[in-house]
Amino acid sequence: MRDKAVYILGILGTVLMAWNLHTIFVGLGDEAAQGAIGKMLFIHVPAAITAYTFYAVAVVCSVGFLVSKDFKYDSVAVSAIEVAQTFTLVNLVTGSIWGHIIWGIWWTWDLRLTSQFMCFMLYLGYLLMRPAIVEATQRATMSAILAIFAAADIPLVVMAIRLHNVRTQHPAPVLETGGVDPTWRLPLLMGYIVLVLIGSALVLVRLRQETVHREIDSLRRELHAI
Amino acid sequence: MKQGLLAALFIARKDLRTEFRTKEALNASVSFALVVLLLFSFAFDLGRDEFYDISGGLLWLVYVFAGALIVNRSFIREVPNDCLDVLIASPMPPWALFLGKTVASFVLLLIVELVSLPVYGLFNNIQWVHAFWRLFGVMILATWGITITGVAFSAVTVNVRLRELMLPVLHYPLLMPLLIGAMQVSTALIKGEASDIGQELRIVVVFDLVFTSLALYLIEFILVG
Amino acid sequence: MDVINQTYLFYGYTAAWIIVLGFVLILVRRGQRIDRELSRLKSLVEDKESK
Repeated sequence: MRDKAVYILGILGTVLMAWNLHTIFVGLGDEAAQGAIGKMLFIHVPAAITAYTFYAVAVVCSVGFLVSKDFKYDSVAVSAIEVAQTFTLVNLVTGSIWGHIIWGIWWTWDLRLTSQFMCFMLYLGYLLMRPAIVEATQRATMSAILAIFAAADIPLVVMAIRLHNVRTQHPAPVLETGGVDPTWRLPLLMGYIVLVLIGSALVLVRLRQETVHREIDSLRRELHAI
Repeated sequence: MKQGLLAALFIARKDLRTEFRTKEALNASVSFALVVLLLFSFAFDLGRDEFYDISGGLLWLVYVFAGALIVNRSFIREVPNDCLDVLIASPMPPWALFLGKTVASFVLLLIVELVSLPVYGLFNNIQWVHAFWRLFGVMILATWGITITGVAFSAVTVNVRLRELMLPVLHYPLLMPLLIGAMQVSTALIKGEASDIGQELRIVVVFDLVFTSLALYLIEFILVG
Repeated sequence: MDVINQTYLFYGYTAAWIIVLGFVLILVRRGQRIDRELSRLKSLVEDKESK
């Protein structure tokens, strides 16, 4: 049943992605100010928003675990965070390549890049800490606590960097100022949907691995007992 | 509630008394702060005016690195002889245990900071005396943020392998907003341009409020499970 | 200029997909490893129980 869900999500995601890529590259003209590289937006921004979506799912599940002590929540949380980290990495790398063309530098410590990197680091700590705790309940509890702390920190990070007088090179948030060409809105939305579908398929795969892992733990205990 | 606060005070006094008897963490921390200051003197070769621009940043780097030594120990020192289990099993509420340890670490870290400040000023020719009281205010606010999050993570990493490695990896990214605020304000105070630091100070205060309430609320899950 | 632009656009999308595929590969390898471990443990438990 779950395998079928993975296949459906995966195929749907791939089909929509193909359609979307066709729209982006064949249907739309180049952006006036930036040229062809402007189309990087279609993977850069949806990756970030997809990552935020999965981080949010993970935080909700972390709270759910603390409240209910059900390991399902812990499994979903770790799977969602791993997928979210992947998309954050995509966002950072595509942003860096874009920046290289547009601003001539590979990196700058402006608001968005820095806060994305901080987000990546915070949840990297989460992923690093998990294998270091052997006992399952403790691992789940501490991971949940860490995920909640990290989520509480993100708004503060954004607030702090916004104040920090850094060379602000990031172009004014294009989506917020509404400066996006209306014909670009649908492919952007579609890009987000595609990544969420693919991400969900990956979460389901990872979820199955968590279940197998727990089975392994219980078999090991049984072996010890025999 | 009152019982809890009394218990917290008791734990704070216990930790402080133990530490003042041996002074091992204090000594190690102050020495480490001095070593870091020494390393910075090799790392940077700036003119006086340029150095003032990074003065606050460097100061807080020194404090955070030295603080890690103090904050790491708070829960881990209770692990031998099952002291931690006894403390958790006692009628004292978990938040009181946590608050007591935080207050103890806070006092210790503040001592380290106050000792390092004149040395920092001496090594780098920084005039800080004119801004001392306001700087002290910032030190109190930011140190509270460092200790409350650090002691919480110390509790989290009690049962984690490689905990000395994990704690900085987990703690420092979290501290970033606090450090940005503290560094900006400190630099402004030392340079004498303290006119518009209200915003940065607000971040430090918000960080303290958010993480104090979050940590006090979640500490029960961390300690008791 | 436009050619450079398009080249880097290609690099960008390629990098994105390499990262995602890299993650998929990590998942697949981990999955194979734990499936092997699971079957090994299952056979061990069966052996011990039959004895």
